[in-house]
Amino acid sequence: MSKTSDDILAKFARDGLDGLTPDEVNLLEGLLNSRPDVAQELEPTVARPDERLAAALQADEQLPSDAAWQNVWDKVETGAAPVATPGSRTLRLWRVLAPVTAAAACLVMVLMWQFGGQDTGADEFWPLSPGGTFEIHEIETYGDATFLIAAGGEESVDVIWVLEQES
Amino acid sequence: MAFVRALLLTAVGLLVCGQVAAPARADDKRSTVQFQVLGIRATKKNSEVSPELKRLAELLKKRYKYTGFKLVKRVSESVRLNKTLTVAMIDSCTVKITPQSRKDKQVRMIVEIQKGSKKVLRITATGESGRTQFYAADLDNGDALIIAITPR
Repeated sequence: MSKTSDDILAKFARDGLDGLTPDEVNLLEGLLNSRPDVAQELEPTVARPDERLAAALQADEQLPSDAAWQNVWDKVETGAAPVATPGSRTLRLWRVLAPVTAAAACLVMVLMWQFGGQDTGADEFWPLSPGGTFEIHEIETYGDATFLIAAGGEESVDVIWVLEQES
Repeated sequence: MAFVRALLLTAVGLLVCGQVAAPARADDKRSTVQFQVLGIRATKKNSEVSPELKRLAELLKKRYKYTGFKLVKRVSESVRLNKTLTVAMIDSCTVKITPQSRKDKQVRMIVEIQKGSKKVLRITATGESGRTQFYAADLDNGDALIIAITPR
């Protein structure tokens, strides 16, 4: 063997593969492939993989099939997708309905104010309150009718009486 | 956040509507007059007095010879200016009231009384808001119809 090969073998024996540069690893690989006797000499020094791991890696039939892997990835993607929870559905619904509800409430309020009808108390019986200022601007009777303003004074009420002559 | 935003929008919307509607409502009050119109049958045939008319009956009895006073009609309505409220009374009597204007507490109105299809009285007068004016007409059976009109 050349001096370089000896150096590499010595370095490998001392530091293992981690101590070799990539070029040295390539050289070592070439050397081992071309020199089976050297490889045989180095075999005891090579670290053995974990037996269980080695068994698992070698048992091809125990590894998941491609279809099984795809199934797993599909589930992962499905699991990552956002799911509509009841809470989020309600929030989405509220986002749509809130402006509509607000607009409808405003419309109802405007309609009630505009067409809400009579003031409070319109249906109650108003107490009769005679008197106050009363100014007659014009008065007319028709046919054979005439009128009489019966003044009530302090003890009664004023009444505008329509009188019709008996035919 | 969206919920709070929607609530704020609703509140602002209601405030705006209130501001818009308030002047409209104020205008509506100035351009309408509420009326209470009563039809009272006054008779000498009995002494029955409707509960609402007890005080009035006391006042009328002192001046007139009627002993019974029955409330036969009551109408309470809001009337726009220059619109006519027509109230059908008893015995084919009808009263029509047309408010013409209102200023402060004074209401100017036209009151017409009809018997059947015949108009018998038309009066234009200004009365005080909340005060009652009385009109009367004889009925065929000796009773009298007293019409009490209160503008407000």
